[in-house]
Amino acid sequence: MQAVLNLDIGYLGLCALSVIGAIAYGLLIGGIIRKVMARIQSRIGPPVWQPYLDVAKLFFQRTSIRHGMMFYLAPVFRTVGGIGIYLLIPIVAGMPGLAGFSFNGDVLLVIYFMFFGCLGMALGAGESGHPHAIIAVSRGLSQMSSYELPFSLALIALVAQVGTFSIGGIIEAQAGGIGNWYLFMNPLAGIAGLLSFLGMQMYSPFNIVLAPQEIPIGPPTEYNSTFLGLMMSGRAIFGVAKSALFMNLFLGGATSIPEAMIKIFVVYMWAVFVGAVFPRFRAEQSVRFFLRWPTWFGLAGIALAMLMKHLAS
Amino acid sequence: MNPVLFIAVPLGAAFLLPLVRRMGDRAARGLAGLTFAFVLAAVVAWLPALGNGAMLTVTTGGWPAPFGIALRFGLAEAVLIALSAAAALGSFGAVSSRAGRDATSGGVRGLVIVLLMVVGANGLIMTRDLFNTFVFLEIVSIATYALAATGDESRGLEAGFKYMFLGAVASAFILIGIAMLYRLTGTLSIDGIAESLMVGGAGAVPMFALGVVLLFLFAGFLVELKVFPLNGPAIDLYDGVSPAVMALTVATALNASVYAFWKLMPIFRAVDLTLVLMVIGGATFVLANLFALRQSRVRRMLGYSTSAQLGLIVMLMPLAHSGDVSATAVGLLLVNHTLAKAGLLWFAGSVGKQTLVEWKGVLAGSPAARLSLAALVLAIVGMPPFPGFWGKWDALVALSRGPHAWWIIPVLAGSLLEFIYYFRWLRLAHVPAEDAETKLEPTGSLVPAHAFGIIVLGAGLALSSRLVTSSTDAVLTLAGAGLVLLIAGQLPGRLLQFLSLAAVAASGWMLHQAGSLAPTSITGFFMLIVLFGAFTVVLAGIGTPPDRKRYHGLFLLLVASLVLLVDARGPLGFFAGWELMTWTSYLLVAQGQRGGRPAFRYMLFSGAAGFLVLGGILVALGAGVTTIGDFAHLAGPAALWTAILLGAGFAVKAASAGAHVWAPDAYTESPDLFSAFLSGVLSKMPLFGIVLFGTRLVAGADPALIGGTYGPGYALGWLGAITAIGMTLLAALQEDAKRLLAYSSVGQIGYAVVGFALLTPLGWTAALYHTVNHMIIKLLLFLAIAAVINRTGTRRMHEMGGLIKKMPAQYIAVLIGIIALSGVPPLSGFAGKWLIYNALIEKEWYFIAGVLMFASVIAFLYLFRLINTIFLGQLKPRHREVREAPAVFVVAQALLVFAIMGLSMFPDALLRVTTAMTAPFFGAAGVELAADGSVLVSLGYLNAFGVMAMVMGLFAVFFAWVLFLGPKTTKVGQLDIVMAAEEPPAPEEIHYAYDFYRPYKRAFAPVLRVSVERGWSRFAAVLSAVAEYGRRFYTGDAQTYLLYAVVFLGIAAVAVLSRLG
Repeated sequence: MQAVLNLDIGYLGLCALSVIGAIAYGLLIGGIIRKVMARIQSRIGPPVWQPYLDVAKLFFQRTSIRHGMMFYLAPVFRTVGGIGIYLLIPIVAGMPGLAGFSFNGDVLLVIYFMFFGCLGMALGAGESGHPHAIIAVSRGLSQMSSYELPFSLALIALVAQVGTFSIGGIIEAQAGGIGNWYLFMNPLAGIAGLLSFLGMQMYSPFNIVLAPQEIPIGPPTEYNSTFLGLMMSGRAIFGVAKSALFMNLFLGGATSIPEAMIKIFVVYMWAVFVGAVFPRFRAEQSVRFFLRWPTWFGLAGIALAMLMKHLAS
Repeated sequence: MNPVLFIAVPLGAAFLLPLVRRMGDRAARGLAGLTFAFVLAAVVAWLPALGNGAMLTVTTGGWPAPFGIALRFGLAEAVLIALSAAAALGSFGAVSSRAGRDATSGGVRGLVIVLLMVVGANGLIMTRDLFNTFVFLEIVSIATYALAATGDESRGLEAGFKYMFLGAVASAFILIGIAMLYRLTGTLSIDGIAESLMVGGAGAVPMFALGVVLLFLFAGFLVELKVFPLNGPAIDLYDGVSPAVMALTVATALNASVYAFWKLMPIFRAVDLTLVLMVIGGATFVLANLFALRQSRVRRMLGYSTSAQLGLIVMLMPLAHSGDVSATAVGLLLVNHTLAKAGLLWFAGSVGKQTLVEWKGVLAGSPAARLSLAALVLAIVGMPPFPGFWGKWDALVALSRGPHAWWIIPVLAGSLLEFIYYFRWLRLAHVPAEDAETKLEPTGSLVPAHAFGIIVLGAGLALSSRLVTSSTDAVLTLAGAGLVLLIAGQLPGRLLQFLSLAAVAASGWMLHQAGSLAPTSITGFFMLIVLFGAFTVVLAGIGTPPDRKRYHGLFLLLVASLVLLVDARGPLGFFAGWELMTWTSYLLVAQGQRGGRPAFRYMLFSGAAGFLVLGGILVALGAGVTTIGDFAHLAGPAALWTAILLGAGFAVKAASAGAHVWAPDAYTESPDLFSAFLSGVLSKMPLFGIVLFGTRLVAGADPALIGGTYGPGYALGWLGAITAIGMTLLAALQEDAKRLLAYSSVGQIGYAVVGFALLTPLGWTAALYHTVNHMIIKLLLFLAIAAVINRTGTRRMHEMGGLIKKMPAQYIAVLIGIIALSGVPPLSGFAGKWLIYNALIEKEWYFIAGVLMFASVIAFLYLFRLINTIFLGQLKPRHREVREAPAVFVVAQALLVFAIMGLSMFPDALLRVTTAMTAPFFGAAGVELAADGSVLVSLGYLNAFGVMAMVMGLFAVFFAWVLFLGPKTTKVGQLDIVMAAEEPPAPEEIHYAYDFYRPYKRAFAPVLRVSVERGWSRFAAVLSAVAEYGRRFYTGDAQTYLLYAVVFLGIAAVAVLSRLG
């Protein structure tokens, strides 16, 4: 309790700066992705700063509709979820302000807090009364539950090997060169992690939630103005946070801001490039996908972790 | 007063009756009734004087034993005579109504026979003379044939003839035996014969001759006692003779024969027949109960039951005689059987329906009759507090400590079979009126059945003084209030709930005074769970009182039994509380609108769980345990088997995968408020059992065994994990809100089971935390759903929608509930998940951890569906007028919400309690609680308050943003949504709700094809087929029966003669 109450205003200011920076970076990556995708499809595409324009426009819209209490609150849930998760992850080891509130809990807290934002979005979608929004939530939850399985298995393998749930501890255990990154220390669990990350980022072929042209844009169908702006910002920082988590768990974390930015970008692009090649799955195909190969890799990863632990002792 | 009067008065009345009859039928009936009443009153008045074991021996004509006939009158005789007189009076009463007379002819002529029957029985009970025994036996037998034949059913005549046929054989054998015994010993006095056989020793009488003599007597009596395989004619008798007559026969002829056999035990002792009798009795108990499964006729089913219960008594009799089992225990079984069976037979007779199908719904309109039938059934299957329970408990405990411990298995197996057919019968009585096949048209008075129900209950309660502890005041307050409310069920429901609340509060205060509420003790911890749950459910009930009249009283009885269970000081207290909980909750489940069938299943599985638990306790008792603390001293195979049996029992009761099939229906079909209690509190009782015994077993176990990764708990851990994932998956696919929560509840208990299975301090802390958390959440969720069902009148989620606008308080309750249950920070569920994963990884149960993580994500599916489909989306036009739940109801929920918020911010407060509770047994806490509120474990850390502060801070900032900096918003109409230029159709058509996770179902199709339900159905079919095959053994043909008798005698001869050595 004291740890929270003792926080000084300066630290909170640093955190706020870090959050703003992360949102900006998230939006920038969004712009880059649109550009990259356009080039792959032989289009010119929007400028990379287009997301900034979009968000600014939304925030300055003067009127909006609302469907009820939850419709109103959902963007708040979404943003709090995105920022909260970012704050719980130490982005750059040992740098004040970029460790956020990670003293509150370990990697399990991060993983479970991810659902907070999703839940908020889903509730808002429900309140809007739009069938497409709800269909998207049904798909999203189905897919989420299935990619969480290989991801959990990879995480369990990781924790079994490094002996801690603390993200700081996990980063420490990977220190000392690329060979110590968990992705290479236990490649089986690493593959499970990489594949489940695809689901987490929800680019094609796993973009069944927003599913453009299919169920307009899914959950936020009814949203506009500040609400949608908040959601977009939340989504931007959420993407950064997820990538940062992946970086910390599998790619040895980061020791400087540029390193963090590069690693996050690379992780992001992994999902984007896969998405550029594969067309969208149907919902049940996506669920089945994660319950097959990624899960087998995850199980094998645990077995490998146990074997290595056994050999080490 | 002279006991001879108990023979002389009915005999005199029998002679007078033809004369008195000239004054009219009414006078004749009056005389008979007076006679029975006199005998009953005289014996009952005598009982207190006999309580201390006083014994009165009367020598007729003043001649001592060798010449005169000695009668003995002690407590046992008095009780049996009282039963026979009471049964005679009852049968008389049952058929005295006009309708009854029509159904049971025989009229006044029959009364003479009834009087003679009582004469014979009383004589048979008291006599100490062998030849006299034969004479009275003949009187009784002839009276039985005569009564059987006076009925106007032709089946009765035929059955009576077959019965006489075999009876004649028995009589002949007995007579030959007696004659030869007289030749050998020179006396007819039973005591004299026994003495001469004892004193003379082996050489005094020729052993072979003695063997032959005893064989004749033995065989003759076994025919009289109708053991397997000689029970055919007796069972046929039930089918053809009026149940009132059969009730009389049970209480007179049968009891007297049993007692006569008991008196001859000293003579049989000359040859050790213990094993022979145990085999015959045990086989009768199991087989008769098995064959009864296939009976479609109620009376015949009761006949099988009689045969079975007699078999149990025959099995225990030699042990009682040798002192291995207390004779009182066997006596209690006999008394219990007489009272309950006579009551049931009158019941069956007065209701008058022959087949089980006709019973369907016949009692729908008469709750008092249902309750009475339930009491009689509970008595006969040996549930506490009825005398049968005490008899069975004492007998089984004695068996467990003696050399015959394995015989417990057939007793428990037979008892479980007995459960099946009795509760199936009871189930039909609970079928709602609209499904009824026939209406109730009583052909006789139900008063005697009710009276015997009350007597058997009273007798049981008198025996329950063994359970007195410091919490007895609270138990009595609750039980007393429960009984009062049961009677006062007509009062307004709100008042009844208010009184219930007062009773719960008062008992809580008493328990506090008695010091039973210290949260760091196991008892106090679970007692608080019980009281908290009961309090909130009853408080909510003031808002929406259940409409069932008996609900209120039964609920308090259940709470009373839970207090008894949780405060148990010894194995007996625990098991009695456990069984009381079982049947009170069974009756509550049956209170549901369609609760009959689910309640039946609930009872079967609970019964099986109870017998497994009993088995575990008996193993421990056999190893010398007396108190619960002694379980720590168990070692070796005894400890292992105790743990396995108890674990299996608790797993069944916790509805673990495989045995879960009872739970969804029971949770769904129970009264809505009771579902909350069932899930919030009752589902914690198996966990209480695990904690209570597990702590001791762990404390006494080898640390190396417990400490290893794959210790004794590993299998249980997998069971819990499979339960968690299986039930969670099924929950996601339900359309019924209560059913969804039911599956969820079962799945969540799986988590706790995994935690306990770890057998580490951290695992137990996790499980206990989860237990409390789950209780609060499930109470909240089930109450909210109860409120919604109450207002909308449907349970199907897709028929609701958009209710957030009508019931905002319920929406908030469900929102808090689902966030807390799903484990999303910052609410309380997260700490539970966090603890359990840490515990699992610490123990290196990686795969189970993976399964649980998967399950906990699937849980989002059903939780979101619960809130979305009911409260969000499109409001249905027919729900435009729906109102919020009453204020009191919301207050009860607010209590729960506060509890969740408190636990969310300060989980360390609860962890402090749980670690203090388990640390003494493990020698370690497993969790470090830092001064700043952080929880530290070996692998990770959590500061719940910090998380809450962060989330609340962020939330405040952004909420202020949308509130003050956000755009001006306009509320739009329900159907005012973006539909690509189309006009949205009606709300029903765009509420995406039915089959919500269709893609998921498709993806999991191969897994979902596995059906445990189908597996159990097949098992039931096989059992039924076996019963059917066995049942055909009784062809109804006198020649076959005679063949069985011959074969049986042959085998008995070999068995008896081989014992001669």
